[in-house]
Amino acid sequence: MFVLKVENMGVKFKLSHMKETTLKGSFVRAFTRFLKREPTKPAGEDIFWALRNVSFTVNEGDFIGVIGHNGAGKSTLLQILTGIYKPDEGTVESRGRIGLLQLGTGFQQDLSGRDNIFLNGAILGLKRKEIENLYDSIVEFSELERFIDMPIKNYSSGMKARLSFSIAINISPDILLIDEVLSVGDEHFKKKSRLKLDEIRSAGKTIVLVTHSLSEIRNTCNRAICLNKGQVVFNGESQEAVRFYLEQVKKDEQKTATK
Amino acid sequence: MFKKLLELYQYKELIQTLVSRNLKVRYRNSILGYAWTWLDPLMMMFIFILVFDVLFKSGIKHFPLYLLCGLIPWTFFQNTTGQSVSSITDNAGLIKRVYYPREIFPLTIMLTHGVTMFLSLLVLIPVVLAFGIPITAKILLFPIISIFFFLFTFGLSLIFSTMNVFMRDIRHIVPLILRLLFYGTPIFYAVENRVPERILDVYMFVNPLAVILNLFRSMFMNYYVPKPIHIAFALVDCILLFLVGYVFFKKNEDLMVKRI
Repeated sequence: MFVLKVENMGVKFKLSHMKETTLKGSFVRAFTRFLKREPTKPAGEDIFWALRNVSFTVNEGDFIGVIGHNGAGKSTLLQILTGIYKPDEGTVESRGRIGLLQLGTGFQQDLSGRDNIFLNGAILGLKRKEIENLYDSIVEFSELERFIDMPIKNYSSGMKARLSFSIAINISPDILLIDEVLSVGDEHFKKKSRLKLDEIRSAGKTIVLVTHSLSEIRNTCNRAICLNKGQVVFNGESQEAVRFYLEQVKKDEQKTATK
Repeated sequence: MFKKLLELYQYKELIQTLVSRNLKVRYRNSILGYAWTWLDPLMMMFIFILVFDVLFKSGIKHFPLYLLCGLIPWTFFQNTTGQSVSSITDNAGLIKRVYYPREIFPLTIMLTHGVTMFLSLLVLIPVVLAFGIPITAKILLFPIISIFFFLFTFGLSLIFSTMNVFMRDIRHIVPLILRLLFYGTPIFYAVENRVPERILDVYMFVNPLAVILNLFRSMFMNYYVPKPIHIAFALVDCILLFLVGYVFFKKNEDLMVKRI
Protein backbone atom coordinates (compact mmCIF):
# COMPACT_ATOMS: atom_id res chain seq x y z
CA MET A 1 0.00 0.00 0.00
CA PHE A 2 1.38 3.39 -0.92
CA VAL A 3 1.84 6.23 1.53
CA LEU A 4 3.10 8.77 -0.99
CA LYS A 5 2.08 8.96 -4.62
CA VAL A 6 3.49 11.59 -6.95
CA GLU A 7 2.18 11.80 -10.51
CA ASN A 8 3.56 14.01 -13.29
CA MET A 9 4.33 16.58 -10.67
CA GLY A 10 6.00 19.86 -11.57
CA VAL A 11 6.77 23.05 -9.68
CA LYS A 12 7.97 26.27 -11.25
CA PHE A 13 9.54 29.47 -10.03
CA LYS A 14 9.67 32.80 -11.76
CA LEU A 15 13.26 33.94 -12.02
CA SER A 16 12.37 37.62 -12.05
CA HIS A 17 10.68 37.09 -8.70
CA MET A 18 13.95 36.03 -7.18
CA LYS A 19 15.37 39.49 -7.73
CA GLU A 20 14.89 42.17 -5.14
CA THR A 21 11.30 43.11 -4.59
CA THR A 22 10.96 46.76 -3.78
CA LEU A 23 8.73 49.48 -5.04
CA LYS A 24 11.71 51.42 -6.32
CA GLY A 25 13.03 48.36 -8.13
CA SER A 26 9.82 47.71 -9.98
CA PHE A 27 9.48 51.39 -10.93
CA VAL A 28 13.02 51.53 -12.23
CA ARG A 29 12.52 48.33 -14.22
CA ALA A 30 9.23 49.51 -15.70
CA PHE A 31 10.78 52.89 -16.55
CA THR A 32 13.89 51.52 -18.29
CA ARG A 33 11.70 49.10 -20.21
CA PHE A 34 9.57 52.04 -21.31
CA LEU A 35 12.61 54.08 -22.37
CA LYS A 36 14.15 51.28 -24.38
CA ARG A 37 10.77 50.33 -25.87
CA GLU A 38 11.58 46.86 -24.77
CA PRO A 39 8.67 44.42 -24.77
CA THR A 40 8.15 42.47 -21.56
CA LYS A 41 10.04 39.22 -21.57
CA PRO A 42 8.13 36.26 -23.00
CA ALA A 43 6.78 34.16 -20.17
CA GLY A 44 8.76 31.04 -21.12
CA GLU A 45 12.21 32.53 -20.62
CA ASP A 46 11.45 33.71 -17.17
CA ILE A 47 10.25 30.39 -15.79
CA PHE A 48 12.41 27.84 -14.07
CA TRP A 49 10.98 24.38 -13.46
CA ALA A 50 12.59 23.15 -10.25
CA LEU A 51 10.88 19.80 -10.78
CA ARG A 52 8.98 18.46 -13.75
CA ASN A 53 7.29 15.22 -14.83
CA VAL A 54 8.17 13.64 -11.54
CA SER A 55 6.31 10.40 -10.81
CA PHE A 56 6.99 7.80 -8.16
CA THR A 57 5.29 6.00 -5.31
CA VAL A 58 6.56 5.23 -1.84
CA ASN A 59 5.12 2.22 -0.06
CA GLU A 60 4.62 1.73 3.61
CA GLY A 61 7.83 0.69 5.33
CA ASP A 62 10.10 1.91 2.53
CA PHE A 63 13.42 3.52 3.34
CA ILE A 64 13.97 5.54 0.23
CA GLY A 65 17.02 7.62 -0.63
CA VAL A 66 17.13 10.67 -2.88
CA ILE A 67 20.43 11.56 -4.59
CA GLY A 68 21.46 14.14 -7.14
CA HIS A 69 23.70 17.14 -7.77
CA ASN A 70 23.31 20.39 -5.92
CA GLY A 71 20.27 22.11 -7.31
CA ALA A 72 18.74 18.94 -8.75
CA GLY A 73 15.56 19.62 -6.81
CA LYS A 74 16.00 17.32 -3.82
CA SER A 75 15.04 19.77 -1.09
CA THR A 76 12.22 21.21 -3.19
CA LEU A 77 10.87 17.69 -3.55
CA LEU A 78 10.74 17.26 0.21
CA GLN A 79 9.02 20.62 0.57
CA ILE A 80 6.42 19.55 -1.98
CA LEU A 81 5.83 16.31 -0.11
CA THR A 82 5.15 18.18 3.14
CA GLY A 83 2.72 20.51 1.41
CA ILE A 84 4.79 23.66 1.82
CA TYR A 85 4.74 24.28 -1.92
CA LYS A 86 1.72 23.37 -3.99
CA PRO A 87 2.61 21.62 -7.26
CA ASP A 88 1.90 23.68 -10.38
CA GLU A 89 1.30 20.50 -12.36
CA GLY A 90 0.30 16.97 -11.48
CA THR A 91 -0.70 15.61 -8.11
CA VAL A 92 0.79 14.59 -4.79
CA GLU A 93 -1.14 12.24 -2.54
CA SER A 94 -0.10 11.28 0.96
CA ARG A 95 -1.45 9.18 3.78
CA GLY A 96 -0.50 9.83 7.37
CA ARG A 97 1.38 12.50 9.27
CA ILE A 98 4.52 13.81 7.61
CA GLY A 99 7.49 15.24 9.47
CA LEU A 100 10.29 17.15 7.76
CA LEU A 101 13.69 17.23 9.40
CA GLN A 102 15.93 20.04 8.17
CA LEU A 103 18.91 21.74 9.66
CA GLY A 104 18.66 25.19 11.10
CA THR A 105 15.01 25.94 10.51
CA GLY A 106 12.07 26.02 12.81
CA PHE A 107 13.81 27.11 15.97
CA GLN A 108 13.05 30.38 17.68
CA GLN A 109 16.40 31.76 18.73
CA ASP A 110 15.11 33.66 21.77
CA LEU A 111 13.26 30.76 23.31
CA SER A 112 14.72 27.99 25.42
CA GLY A 113 15.15 24.44 24.18
CA ARG A 114 12.15 23.45 26.25
CA ASP A 115 9.86 26.05 24.66
CA ASN A 116 11.13 25.13 21.23
CA ILE A 117 10.22 21.50 21.79
CA PHE A 118 6.66 22.54 22.55
CA LEU A 119 6.55 24.97 19.65
CA ASN A 120 7.84 22.38 17.20
CA GLY A 121 5.43 19.79 18.48
CA ALA A 122 2.52 22.18 18.03
CA ILE A 123 3.69 23.02 14.51
CA LEU A 124 3.71 19.33 13.67
CA GLY A 125 0.13 19.12 14.89
CA LEU A 126 0.55 17.50 18.29
CA LYS A 127 -1.62 18.22 21.30
CA ARG A 128 0.04 19.73 24.34
CA LYS A 129 -0.61 16.56 26.32
CA GLU A 130 1.07 14.42 23.66
CA ILE A 131 4.16 16.62 23.67
CA GLU A 132 4.32 16.48 27.47
CA ASN A 133 4.37 12.69 27.25
CA LEU A 134 7.17 12.73 24.69
CA TYR A 135 9.16 15.53 26.33
CA ASP A 136 11.38 13.37 28.53
CA SER A 137 12.37 10.98 25.80
CA ILE A 138 13.17 13.89 23.47
CA VAL A 139 15.47 15.54 26.01
CA GLU A 140 17.06 12.25 26.99
CA PHE A 141 17.81 11.29 23.40
CA SER A 142 19.33 14.68 22.61
CA GLU A 143 21.54 14.50 25.76
CA LEU A 144 20.88 18.19 26.38
CA GLU A 145 19.42 17.94 29.91
CA ARG A 146 21.77 20.56 31.28
CA PHE A 147 21.12 23.11 28.57
CA ILE A 148 17.41 22.66 27.96
CA ASP A 149 16.43 25.92 29.68
CA MET A 150 19.00 27.97 27.82
CA PRO A 151 17.94 30.05 24.79
CA ILE A 152 18.59 28.23 21.51
CA LYS A 153 20.81 31.05 20.28
CA ASN A 154 23.48 29.92 22.73
CA TYR A 155 23.48 26.35 21.39
CA SER A 156 26.25 25.09 19.15
CA SER A 157 25.23 23.88 15.70
CA GLY A 158 25.75 20.29 16.78
CA MET A 159 23.45 20.78 19.76
CA LYS A 160 20.77 22.31 17.53
CA ALA A 161 21.01 19.41 15.12
CA ARG A 162 20.73 16.93 17.97
CA LEU A 163 17.66 18.65 19.32
CA SER A 164 15.88 18.86 15.98
CA PHE A 165 16.71 15.25 15.24
CA SER A 166 15.42 14.12 18.63
CA ILE A 167 12.19 16.04 18.17
CA ALA A 168 11.59 14.67 14.69
CA ILE A 169 12.13 11.02 15.52
CA ASN A 170 10.39 11.00 18.89
CA ILE A 171 7.29 12.65 17.49
CA SER A 172 7.34 9.65 15.14
CA PRO A 173 5.40 10.81 12.13
CA ASP A 174 4.15 8.12 9.77
CA ILE A 175 6.44 9.45 7.07
CA LEU A 176 9.75 10.99 8.09
CA LEU A 177 11.55 13.18 5.56
CA ILE A 178 15.20 13.83 6.35
CA ASP A 179 17.21 16.52 4.58
CA GLU A 180 20.96 16.12 5.12
CA VAL A 181 20.89 15.98 8.86
CA LEU A 182 22.60 12.72 9.65
CA SER A 183 25.98 14.02 8.57
CA VAL A 184 26.26 16.37 11.53
CA GLY A 185 26.89 15.40 15.11
CA ASP A 186 29.73 13.31 16.44
CA GLU A 187 30.24 9.60 15.78
CA HIS A 188 28.51 8.65 19.00
CA PHE A 189 25.35 10.55 18.10
CA LYS A 190 25.43 9.37 14.50
CA LYS A 191 25.54 5.76 15.59
CA LYS A 192 22.70 6.33 18.01
CA SER A 193 20.62 8.05 15.35
CA ARG A 194 21.13 5.21 12.92
CA LEU A 195 19.98 2.67 15.50
CA LYS A 196 16.92 4.77 16.20
CA LEU A 197 16.12 5.01 12.49
CA ASP A 198 16.31 1.21 12.20
CA GLU A 199 13.94 0.98 15.12
CA ILE A 200 11.51 3.39 13.46
CA ARG A 201 11.70 1.46 10.25
CA SER A 202 11.02 -1.88 11.86
CA ALA A 203 7.94 -0.26 13.41
CA GLY A 204 6.63 -0.02 9.85
CA LYS A 205 7.19 3.72 9.35
CA THR A 206 8.38 5.20 6.09
CA ILE A 207 11.54 7.26 5.70
CA VAL A 208 12.68 9.45 2.80
CA LEU A 209 16.31 10.47 3.10
CA VAL A 210 18.05 13.17 1.08
CA THR A 211 21.81 12.92 1.32
CA HIS A 212 25.10 13.29 -0.49
CA SER A 213 26.60 10.35 1.35
CA LEU A 214 26.44 7.43 -1.07
CA SER A 215 27.51 4.94 1.57
CA GLU A 216 24.52 5.92 3.63
CA ILE A 217 22.24 5.22 0.66
CA ARG A 218 23.92 1.85 0.10
CA ASN A 219 23.83 0.79 3.74
CA THR A 220 20.44 1.99 4.87
CA CYS A 221 18.02 2.45 1.97
CA ASN A 222 16.17 -0.30 0.16
CA ARG A 223 15.31 1.96 -2.77
CA ALA A 224 16.64 5.20 -4.19
CA ILE A 225 15.63 7.90 -6.60
CA CYS A 226 18.17 9.78 -8.64
CA LEU A 227 17.27 13.35 -9.60
CA ASN A 228 18.89 15.42 -12.31
CA LYS A 229 17.81 18.93 -13.30
CA GLY A 230 14.39 18.47 -11.78
CA GLN A 231 13.65 15.10 -13.38
CA VAL A 232 13.72 11.55 -12.09
CA VAL A 233 16.47 9.79 -14.05
CA PHE A 234 16.58 6.62 -12.00
CA ASN A 235 14.17 4.93 -9.64
CA GLY A 236 14.95 1.50 -8.26
CA GLU A 237 17.16 -0.60 -6.05
CA SER A 238 19.62 1.49 -4.00
CA GLN A 239 22.89 -0.25 -5.05
CA GLU A 240 22.01 0.25 -8.70
CA ALA A 241 20.92 3.82 -8.09
CA VAL A 242 24.34 4.62 -6.62
CA ARG A 243 26.05 2.93 -9.56
CA PHE A 244 23.87 4.92 -11.98
CA TYR A 245 24.63 8.15 -10.19
CA LEU A 246 28.40 7.55 -10.20
CA GLU A 247 28.35 6.82 -13.92
CA GLN A 248 26.43 9.98 -14.50
CA VAL A 249 28.96 11.99 -12.53
CA LYS A 250 31.76 10.42 -14.60
CA LYS A 251 29.98 11.32 -17.85
CA ASP A 252 29.50 14.88 -16.72
CA GLU A 253 33.18 15.14 -15.86
CA GLN A 254 34.19 13.84 -19.28
CA LYS A 255 31.88 16.34 -20.90
CA THR A 256 33.45 19.26 -19.10
CA ALA A 257 36.94 17.86 -19.80
CA THR A 258 36.36 17.73 -23.56
CA LYS A 259 34.94 21.23 -23.70
CA MET B 1 -13.90 29.61 2.21
CA PHE B 2 -15.74 28.17 5.20
CA LYS B 3 -13.75 24.99 4.80
CA LYS B 4 -10.56 27.01 5.04
CA LEU B 5 -11.77 28.83 8.13
CA LEU B 6 -12.63 25.47 9.67
CA GLU B 7 -9.12 24.27 8.90
CA LEU B 8 -7.85 27.17 10.96
CA TYR B 9 -9.79 25.88 13.93
CA GLN B 10 -7.91 22.58 13.82
CA TYR B 11 -4.74 24.50 14.52
CA LYS B 12 -5.95 26.00 17.78
CA GLU B 13 -3.21 24.26 19.78
CA LEU B 14 -0.55 25.82 17.60
CA ILE B 15 -2.22 29.22 17.84
CA GLN B 16 -2.25 28.96 21.64
CA THR B 17 1.41 28.00 21.75
CA LEU B 18 2.41 30.83 19.44
CA VAL B 19 0.45 33.43 21.41
CA SER B 20 2.01 32.40 24.69
CA ARG B 21 5.40 32.40 22.99
CA ASN B 22 4.82 35.97 21.80
CA LEU B 23 3.84 37.11 25.28
CA LYS B 24 6.85 35.39 26.78
CA VAL B 25 9.33 36.85 24.32
CA ARG B 26 7.90 40.33 24.69
CA TYR B 27 8.32 40.54 28.43
CA ARG B 28 11.47 38.52 28.84
CA ASN B 29 14.36 40.49 30.30
CA SER B 30 12.18 43.43 31.26
CA ILE B 31 11.97 44.16 34.96
CA LEU B 32 8.44 45.48 34.94
CA GLY B 33 7.15 42.65 32.74
CA TYR B 34 3.40 42.66 32.26
CA ALA B 35 3.12 46.07 33.90
CA TRP B 36 4.20 47.53 30.56
CA THR B 37 0.86 46.58 29.08
CA TRP B 38 -0.76 49.48 30.88
CA LEU B 39 2.27 51.65 31.64
CA ASP B 40 2.55 52.28 27.93
CA PRO B 41 -0.91 53.84 27.30
CA LEU B 42 -0.69 55.53 30.70
CA MET B 43 2.44 57.41 29.73
CA MET B 44 0.92 58.32 26.38
CA MET B 45 -2.07 59.61 28.31
CA PHE B 46 0.01 61.95 30.46
CA ILE B 47 1.68 63.39 27.40
CA PHE B 48 -1.67 63.99 25.72
CA ILE B 49 -3.21 65.50 28.83
CA LEU B 50 -0.31 67.92 29.02
CA VAL B 51 -0.55 68.87 25.35
CA PHE B 52 -4.25 68.84 24.60
CA ASP B 53 -5.93 69.46 27.93
CA VAL B 54 -3.54 71.82 29.65
CA LEU B 55 -1.98 73.64 26.71
CA PHE B 56 -4.77 73.61 24.12
CA LYS B 57 -7.86 73.16 26.30
CA SER B 58 -9.77 70.37 24.56
CA GLY B 59 -12.98 71.04 26.46
CA ILE B 60 -13.81 67.34 26.65
CA LYS B 61 -15.40 66.11 29.86
CA HIS B 62 -13.29 63.56 31.79
CA PHE B 63 -10.49 64.03 29.30
CA PRO B 64 -8.07 61.43 30.77
CA LEU B 65 -10.74 58.74 30.58
CA TYR B 66 -11.83 59.83 27.13
CA LEU B 67 -8.23 59.53 26.03
CA LEU B 68 -7.60 56.11 27.59
CA CYS B 69 -10.80 54.62 26.16
CA GLY B 70 -9.58 55.61 22.72
CA LEU B 71 -5.90 55.01 23.23
CA ILE B 72 -6.12 51.42 24.49
CA PRO B 73 -8.04 50.04 21.47
CA TRP B 74 -5.98 52.22 19.16
CA THR B 75 -2.74 50.83 20.56
CA PHE B 76 -4.05 47.33 19.90
CA PHE B 77 -4.95 48.27 16.33
CA GLN B 78 -1.67 50.02 15.66
CA ASN B 79 0.55 47.31 17.12
CA THR B 80 -1.29 44.53 15.34
CA THR B 81 -1.28 46.05 11.88
CA GLY B 82 2.20 47.50 12.34
CA GLN B 83 3.73 44.16 13.31
CA SER B 84 1.67 41.96 10.99
CA VAL B 85 3.14 43.67 7.95
CA SER B 86 6.36 41.70 8.14
CA SER B 87 4.94 38.63 9.88
CA ILE B 88 5.10 36.47 6.75
CA THR B 89 8.52 37.61 5.60
CA ASP B 90 10.00 37.34 9.10
CA ASN B 91 8.73 33.82 9.70
CA ALA B 92 10.08 32.35 6.47
CA GLY B 93 12.00 29.76 8.49
CA LEU B 94 8.91 28.36 10.14
CA ILE B 95 6.78 28.65 7.02
CA LYS B 96 9.21 26.60 4.97
CA ARG B 97 9.39 23.85 7.55
CA VAL B 98 5.92 22.40 7.55
CA TYR B 99 2.53 23.21 6.09
CA TYR B 100 -0.10 25.02 8.11
CA PRO B 101 -2.40 27.92 7.25
CA ARG B 102 -0.13 30.96 7.05
CA GLU B 103 -2.73 33.44 8.24
CA ILE B 104 -1.82 32.02 11.64
CA PHE B 105 1.03 34.54 11.86
CA PRO B 106 -0.98 37.77 11.64
CA LEU B 107 -3.68 36.06 13.68
CA THR B 108 -1.37 35.23 16.57
CA ILE B 109 0.04 38.75 16.57
CA MET B 110 -3.49 40.09 16.83
CA LEU B 111 -4.45 37.70 19.61
CA THR B 112 -1.30 38.60 21.55
CA HIS B 113 -2.15 42.29 21.41
CA GLY B 114 -5.77 41.37 22.11
CA VAL B 115 -4.72 39.84 25.44
CA THR B 116 -2.81 43.03 26.21
CA MET B 117 -5.84 45.15 25.35
CA PHE B 118 -8.15 43.12 27.60
CA LEU B 119 -5.72 43.44 30.50
CA SER B 120 -5.49 47.19 30.00
CA LEU B 121 -9.26 47.56 29.83
CA LEU B 122 -9.56 45.55 33.03
CA VAL B 123 -7.26 48.02 34.76
CA LEU B 124 -9.37 50.82 33.32
CA ILE B 125 -12.55 49.81 35.17
CA PRO B 126 -11.43 50.89 38.68
CA VAL B 127 -10.21 54.17 37.19
CA VAL B 128 -13.65 54.76 35.67
CA LEU B 129 -15.28 54.06 39.03
CA ALA B 130 -12.85 56.44 40.72
CA PHE B 131 -14.11 59.18 38.41
CA GLY B 132 -17.58 58.53 39.77
CA ILE B 133 -18.91 57.14 36.50
CA PRO B 134 -21.15 54.08 36.80
CA ILE B 135 -20.50 50.96 34.73
CA THR B 136 -23.74 50.37 32.81
CA ALA B 137 -25.27 47.35 31.09
CA LYS B 138 -23.78 48.63 27.81
CA ILE B 139 -20.58 46.86 28.76
CA LEU B 140 -22.32 43.58 27.91
CA LEU B 141 -21.94 44.54 24.25
CA PHE B 142 -18.20 44.33 24.63
CA PRO B 143 -17.76 40.81 23.15
CA ILE B 144 -19.75 41.67 20.01
CA ILE B 145 -17.99 44.97 19.41
CA SER B 146 -14.64 43.29 19.97
CA ILE B 147 -15.38 40.64 17.37
CA PHE B 148 -16.12 43.29 14.74
CA PHE B 149 -13.07 45.28 15.77
CA PHE B 150 -10.95 42.12 15.46
CA LEU B 151 -12.37 41.33 12.02
CA PHE B 152 -11.47 44.83 10.85
CA THR B 153 -7.95 44.66 12.26
CA PHE B 154 -7.37 41.15 10.94
CA GLY B 155 -8.58 42.02 7.44
CA LEU B 156 -6.23 44.98 7.22
CA SER B 157 -3.31 42.97 8.65
CA LEU B 158 -3.83 40.25 6.03
CA ILE B 159 -3.76 42.79 3.23
CA PHE B 160 -0.59 44.48 4.52
CA SER B 161 1.27 41.24 5.18
CA THR B 162 0.45 39.91 1.71
CA MET B 163 1.54 43.09 -0.01
CA ASN B 164 4.79 43.18 1.92
CA VAL B 165 5.86 39.84 0.44
CA PHE B 166 5.67 41.25 -3.05
CA MET B 167 6.89 44.73 -2.23
CA ARG B 168 9.09 45.06 0.82
CA ASP B 169 8.44 48.80 0.88
CA ILE B 170 5.03 48.25 2.42
CA ARG B 171 6.73 47.75 5.76
CA HIS B 172 7.93 51.37 5.61
CA ILE B 173 4.70 52.74 4.23
CA VAL B 174 2.38 51.22 6.83
CA PRO B 175 3.70 53.30 9.77
CA LEU B 176 3.00 56.42 7.73
CA ILE B 177 -0.54 55.27 6.99
CA LEU B 178 -1.02 54.49 10.67
CA ARG B 179 0.17 57.92 11.72
CA LEU B 180 -2.23 59.55 9.29
CA LEU B 181 -5.04 57.38 10.57
CA PHE B 182 -4.12 58.29 14.14
CA TYR B 183 -4.76 61.98 13.46
CA GLY B 184 -7.85 61.16 11.41
CA THR B 185 -9.44 59.23 14.25
CA PRO B 186 -11.07 60.80 17.31
CA ILE B 187 -8.53 59.76 19.93
CA PHE B 188 -7.48 63.04 21.50
CA TYR B 189 -10.34 65.08 20.02
CA ALA B 190 -14.09 64.55 19.75
CA VAL B 191 -15.83 64.07 16.40
CA GLU B 192 -18.45 66.73 17.08
CA ASN B 193 -15.79 69.39 17.76
CA ARG B 194 -13.66 68.72 14.74
CA VAL B 195 -15.63 67.07 11.91
CA PRO B 196 -18.09 69.33 10.02
CA GLU B 197 -21.69 68.15 10.13
CA ARG B 198 -22.13 67.85 6.36
CA ILE B 199 -19.32 65.36 5.85
CA LEU B 200 -20.02 63.44 9.05
CA ASP B 201 -21.76 60.51 7.35
CA VAL B 202 -18.97 60.09 4.80
CA TYR B 203 -16.36 60.38 7.51
CA MET B 204 -18.00 57.68 9.60
CA PHE B 205 -18.22 55.38 6.61
CA VAL B 206 -14.62 55.90 5.57
CA ASN B 207 -13.21 55.54 9.06
CA PRO B 208 -15.10 52.86 10.99
CA LEU B 209 -12.45 53.18 13.72
CA ALA B 210 -14.12 56.44 14.78
CA VAL B 211 -17.36 54.59 15.46
CA ILE B 212 -15.62 51.69 17.14
CA LEU B 213 -13.66 53.96 19.49
CA ASN B 214 -16.81 55.86 20.39
CA LEU B 215 -18.56 52.57 21.05
CA PHE B 216 -15.74 51.63 23.42
CA ARG B 217 -16.31 54.93 25.16
CA SER B 218 -20.02 54.35 25.46
CA MET B 219 -19.37 50.95 26.96
CA PHE B 220 -16.69 51.96 29.42
CA MET B 221 -17.39 55.58 30.39
CA ASN B 222 -21.08 55.95 29.64
CA TYR B 223 -20.38 58.13 26.61
CA TYR B 224 -23.23 58.79 24.16
CA VAL B 225 -23.99 55.96 21.70
CA PRO B 226 -23.21 56.73 18.04
CA LYS B 227 -26.12 57.05 15.59
CA PRO B 228 -27.49 53.65 14.48
CA ILE B 229 -26.74 54.42 10.86
CA HIS B 230 -23.09 55.07 11.73
CA ILE B 231 -22.90 51.85 13.70
CA ALA B 232 -24.35 50.00 10.72
CA PHE B 233 -21.72 51.60 8.45
CA ALA B 234 -18.93 50.51 10.73
CA LEU B 235 -20.15 46.94 11.04
CA VAL B 236 -20.52 46.59 7.27
CA ASP B 237 -17.01 48.02 6.84
CA CYS B 238 -15.57 45.52 9.29
CA ILE B 239 -17.11 42.53 7.54
CA LEU B 240 -16.18 43.81 4.09
CA LEU B 241 -12.58 44.46 5.02
CA PHE B 242 -12.26 41.04 6.61
CA LEU B 243 -13.67 39.28 3.54
CA VAL B 244 -11.50 41.24 1.13
CA GLY B 245 -8.39 40.69 3.25
CA TYR B 246 -8.99 37.01 3.74
CA VAL B 247 -9.72 36.23 0.09
CA PHE B 248 -6.75 38.36 -1.04
CA PHE B 249 -4.43 36.53 1.35
CA LYS B 250 -5.65 33.05 0.43
CA LYS B 251 -5.50 33.78 -3.31
CA ASN B 252 -1.86 34.78 -3.03
CA GLU B 253 -0.76 32.29 -0.39
CA ASP B 254 0.94 29.73 -2.65
CA LEU B 255 2.78 32.41 -4.55
CA MET B 256 3.88 34.07 -1.31
CA VAL B 257 5.56 30.91 -0.03
CA LYS B 258 7.66 30.80 -3.19
CA ARG B 259 8.70 34.41 -2.82
CA ILE B 260 9.91 34.49 0.77
